[in-house]
Amino acid sequence: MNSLLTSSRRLAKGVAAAGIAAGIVLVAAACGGDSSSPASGATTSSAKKGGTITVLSAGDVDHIDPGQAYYSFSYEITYATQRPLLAYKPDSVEPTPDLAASMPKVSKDGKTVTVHIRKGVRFSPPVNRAVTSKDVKYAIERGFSSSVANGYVAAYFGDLVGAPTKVPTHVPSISGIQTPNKTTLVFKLKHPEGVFVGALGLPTTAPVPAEYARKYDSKTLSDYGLHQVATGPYMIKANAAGSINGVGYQPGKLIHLVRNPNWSAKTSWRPAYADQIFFKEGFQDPTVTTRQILSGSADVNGDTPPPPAELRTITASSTQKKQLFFTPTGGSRYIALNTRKAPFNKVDVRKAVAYVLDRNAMRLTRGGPIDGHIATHFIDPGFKDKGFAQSGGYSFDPFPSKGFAGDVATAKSYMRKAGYPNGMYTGPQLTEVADNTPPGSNTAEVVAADLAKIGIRLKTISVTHSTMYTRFCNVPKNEPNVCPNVGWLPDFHEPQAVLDVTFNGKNITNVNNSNWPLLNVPSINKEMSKAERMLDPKARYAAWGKIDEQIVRTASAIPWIWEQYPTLFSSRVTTPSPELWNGGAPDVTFMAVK
Amino acid sequence: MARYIVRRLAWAVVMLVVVSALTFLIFYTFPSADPAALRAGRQATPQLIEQIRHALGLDKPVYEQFFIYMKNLGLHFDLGYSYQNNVPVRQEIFARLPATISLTAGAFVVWMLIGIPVGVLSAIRPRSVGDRVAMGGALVGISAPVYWLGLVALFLFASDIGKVHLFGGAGSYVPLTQDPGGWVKSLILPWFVLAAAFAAFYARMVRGNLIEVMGEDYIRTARAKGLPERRVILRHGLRAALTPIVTIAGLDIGILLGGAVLTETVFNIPGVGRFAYDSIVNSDLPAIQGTVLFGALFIIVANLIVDIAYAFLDPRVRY
Amino acid sequence: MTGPSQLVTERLGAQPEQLEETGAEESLQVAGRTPWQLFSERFRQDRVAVVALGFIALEILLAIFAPVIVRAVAHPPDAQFPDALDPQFGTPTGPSSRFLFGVDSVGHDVFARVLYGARVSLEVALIATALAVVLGVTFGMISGYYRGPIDTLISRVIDVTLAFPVLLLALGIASACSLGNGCVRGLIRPGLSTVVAAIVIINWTYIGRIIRGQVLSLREKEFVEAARAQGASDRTILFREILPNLVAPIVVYTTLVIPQNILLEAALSYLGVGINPPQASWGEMIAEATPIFNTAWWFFAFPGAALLLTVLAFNLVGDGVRDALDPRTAV
Repeated sequence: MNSLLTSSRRLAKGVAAAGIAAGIVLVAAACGGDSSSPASGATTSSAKKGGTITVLSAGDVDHIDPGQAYYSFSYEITYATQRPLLAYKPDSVEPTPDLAASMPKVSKDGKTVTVHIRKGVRFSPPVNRAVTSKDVKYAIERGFSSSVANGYVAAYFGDLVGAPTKVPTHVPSISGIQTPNKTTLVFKLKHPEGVFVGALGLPTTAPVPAEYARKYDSKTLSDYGLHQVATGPYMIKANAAGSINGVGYQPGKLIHLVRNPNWSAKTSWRPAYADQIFFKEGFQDPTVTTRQILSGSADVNGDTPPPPAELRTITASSTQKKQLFFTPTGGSRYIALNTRKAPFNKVDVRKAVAYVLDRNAMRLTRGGPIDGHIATHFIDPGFKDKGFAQSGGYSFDPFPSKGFAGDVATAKSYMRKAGYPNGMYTGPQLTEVADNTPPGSNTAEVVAADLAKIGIRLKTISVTHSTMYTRFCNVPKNEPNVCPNVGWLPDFHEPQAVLDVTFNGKNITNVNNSNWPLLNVPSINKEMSKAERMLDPKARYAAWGKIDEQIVRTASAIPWIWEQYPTLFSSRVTTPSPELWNGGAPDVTFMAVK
Repeated sequence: MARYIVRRLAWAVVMLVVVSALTFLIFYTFPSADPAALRAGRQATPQLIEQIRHALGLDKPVYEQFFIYMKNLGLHFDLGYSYQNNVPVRQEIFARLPATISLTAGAFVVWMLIGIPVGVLSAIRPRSVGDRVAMGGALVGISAPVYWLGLVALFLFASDIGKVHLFGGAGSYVPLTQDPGGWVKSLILPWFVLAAAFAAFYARMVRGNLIEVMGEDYIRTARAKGLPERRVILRHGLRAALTPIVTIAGLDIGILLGGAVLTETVFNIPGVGRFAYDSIVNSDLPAIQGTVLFGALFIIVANLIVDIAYAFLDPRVRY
Repeated sequence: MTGPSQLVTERLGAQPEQLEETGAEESLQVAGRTPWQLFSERFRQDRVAVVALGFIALEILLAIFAPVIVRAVAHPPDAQFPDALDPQFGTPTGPSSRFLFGVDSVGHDVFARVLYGARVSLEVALIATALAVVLGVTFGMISGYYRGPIDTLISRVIDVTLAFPVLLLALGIASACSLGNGCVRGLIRPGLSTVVAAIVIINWTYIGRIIRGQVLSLREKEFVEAARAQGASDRTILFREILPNLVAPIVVYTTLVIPQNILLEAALSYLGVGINPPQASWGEMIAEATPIFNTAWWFFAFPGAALLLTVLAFNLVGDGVRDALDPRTAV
């Protein structure tokens, strides 16, 4: 039951790299270049309308309310039923206007962003009316209130003029979101924000009808999600009063999408072939899930990747491998070292750890080369010229070793530099807090075995995934010396989304902290603040590339894999590109029954 | 007699309260993950988490939370709302109860239909080859981990992924009212897998009891009277041997109704057991409270029924 | 899964009447035999049980000498050999001359882990069972002998514990004790101690109830009355008169429940709250191996077979003990 406890949902929302989606990508063990085959997925122009698609998942959505949804699996439903200002076509990481009629216009000083929304978009029953700019305004505002508690409005919309500084218990009114007419939105920012346009692709900008939602949002904890209306091609099946609870949404069991009668294909680039989509939940065993997809009793994996043993069989079969796609997740996994506690407050000790870790063995715990390229810094290959090249690309590896298997001799020399005469650690036992199920537990074991090579005795505390985060690694007071199962996926395709929350000293909080190494280097913080204000993309990416380099050199967190996610389709459906921007999640609006 | 029943009922209620309190103590005082942080999402500010903690009532002292919970439970039969998705816990449990009941009832029938005859036959011919084989098989049945057995069953017999396409695969459960044929098909494998260990155990128990009973004097008397052996066994021996079996069966049903976590997981049956397990993993405190309470309720009721039945049958038991 | 409910009514046989035999009734020609001699003679006649007992002894020996054996023919149990994993997919390889039982998904030597796992599994089962039995017998005796309010209190505690769904209780203990310094001042933390704690808490109630029932009927017997008439203290009566008569149910219960507890440990490890790697136990290995058992059969088969044989052996010994203690039930 290895996936029962591990939350098989990804770490955060995924935005992945460009162009490496379709076909099989078996990354060579000896890393040296982009060995992907950028063939595109089967063209869907010949696809038929109608039919039913089944998606299998192990877990439920984190939140059914689009204003709260945070993880990639939830986005599979949200982006099929909601229309944010911008959205993403499957084989692209650049946002495309969805509800917006055209791309937003940013003023010269970067402090004003203007968006026009399309005409002819209507809410699903029971609201039925046309969408106006006020609905987008309300959608963003509600995210700030504690009753909705959107997880990223503070980070990306906090700079709006009039955005609340303290968390209100009711939906605030933000003066910085102006609606001069029914189809225009004007955002006023306090400072220029380079990534603001990208943030408009988040589901929090999907319109919400205030007059309908207010009664739900005024509760201490909003339950608008159970009564939500849709603007996308599909809606979660609801009863006449608009409630989805027990109808289209059976928590932990099923989410049932049906066509939204008020959606007009003329206003949207989504093909929406299928008539119905079922997200069936609770499939814990990844082998069983994979075989069900191969047998045709289900159509695609929602949040559970096929395990390595199955991948091996599939890639060996000439027919089955055509149904398998690998998509870079856009993020990395890393080992976080607590820089506030000895001995990892010393950079030389950290560098010793960076040298001794056998990243190849760690990657094997997740399936080997098929899981992705071994990471040497944090901005992943998919960001190509958006920071990846600028941070040194594949050739930048400040802690190299043969075959990435670790270099014990060099590690020991750094230990000696740190003051341990024999190159072996002589202090008290250290602790790591790890997942209690594979593959996280396996990774933690490898880390412990590697650290033993430089004399560090590592005690492993095994807890559930959510405990590991919410009780230990996210709480600086309780944080152990090593957090081996952490990683980060960007919220959207900007290097800031990968590096800011995770390595900026000003983002360290005393609960729910995501800066796990507790890195707080003033020079790096300053560089980040500067880069955040840069409006010129080229300058911005160059700046973040350099910041990535600097962070890696601190060895406060050691990245070890740029993951790619396998998506398996059944033979009864067409195989469009899995969502590049969402780390390989299937886009049900582009899938058709053959 | 009536006094006895009333006393047992009163005690049952007290036990439920105590179990609730203990659950509160274990799960609320030391929740493994922080429910407020989970609810608040990844990039939430500490202030937001505190707001949510307050909204969920988690900043109150434990005994106050317990009192509020019991008040809601007693007065409105309100089990609170799930932290995960805001749906009422009571609704969730009742939605899943039919699946668990289906699983338990069917497995019960299977294990009794298999276990008892096997046990009887073994007892009639003890130490024979058949007996050894049956008891050996029973021991294997007890030893096999349920989850593994389930996977084997799926890989062999599931209609979608099995070598032989016979019965419903994982996740194919449909309610009886919706599709009786599909309901049966989806539950055959889970029934047999869940029943395996129980059938084995019951076979052993029946065998042991029956052998012991067969050594009693009154059996010897019956034989001496010239009754046919079959009558001796079935009329006299079996009745005595089966009484304790029925007791245990009742208790086991009570336990299973609390949810057979492992079986429900491997076959993806949306029952109470899975729900209980998921809520523990997600630190969904109201759901944990509700499911533990329900599990305890079934066990206590089963105990109660058994105790009262015994009191009827054996006056010495009342105290 | 099979709850320990079976233990409530596994019939433990009536009082061994041989304890009441007095020498005066024996003819001088027949040498008197002690109860122990009678028991062991009868036990020896059940050859299957004897073989099973031998097997258990062998297992214990293997467990004790695991370090020696492993050093001779295998690799250290927590050493990782990533080179034994498939370099393309990271899947483990099977039995070979280098690894007798193959490797697991992290590259550990399965043979070594099965042997070391014997230590942990047997240790957990034996120690936890022993603790549970001691607790259960103690409270059962007190409860059954003194009756009254103490009996009520203990019985109620047993009732409440039994009312808790077993797995949820274990999960609760594990989650509650996973933070900070664990519970009982650091005695109970995630891992082995949690498993032991869960087993003890769950098991003591069953043996407690059984013993209580036995003591309730024993205290009315004549030999207890006689002892009391002779002025024996309660303590003496409990230890000299009653306890010896409880040996039979205790032994039978113990042999029955040891394999149960090994399986319970496996189930807990399965749910992630049992023994954690790199420590090896059969339960933990089976838990890890189950999702991939059809591709990496060795990883599941060897610990699984070890578990099965142990369960078989303990059950057969238990049967033999019960049959030997009460000849009426032996056939």
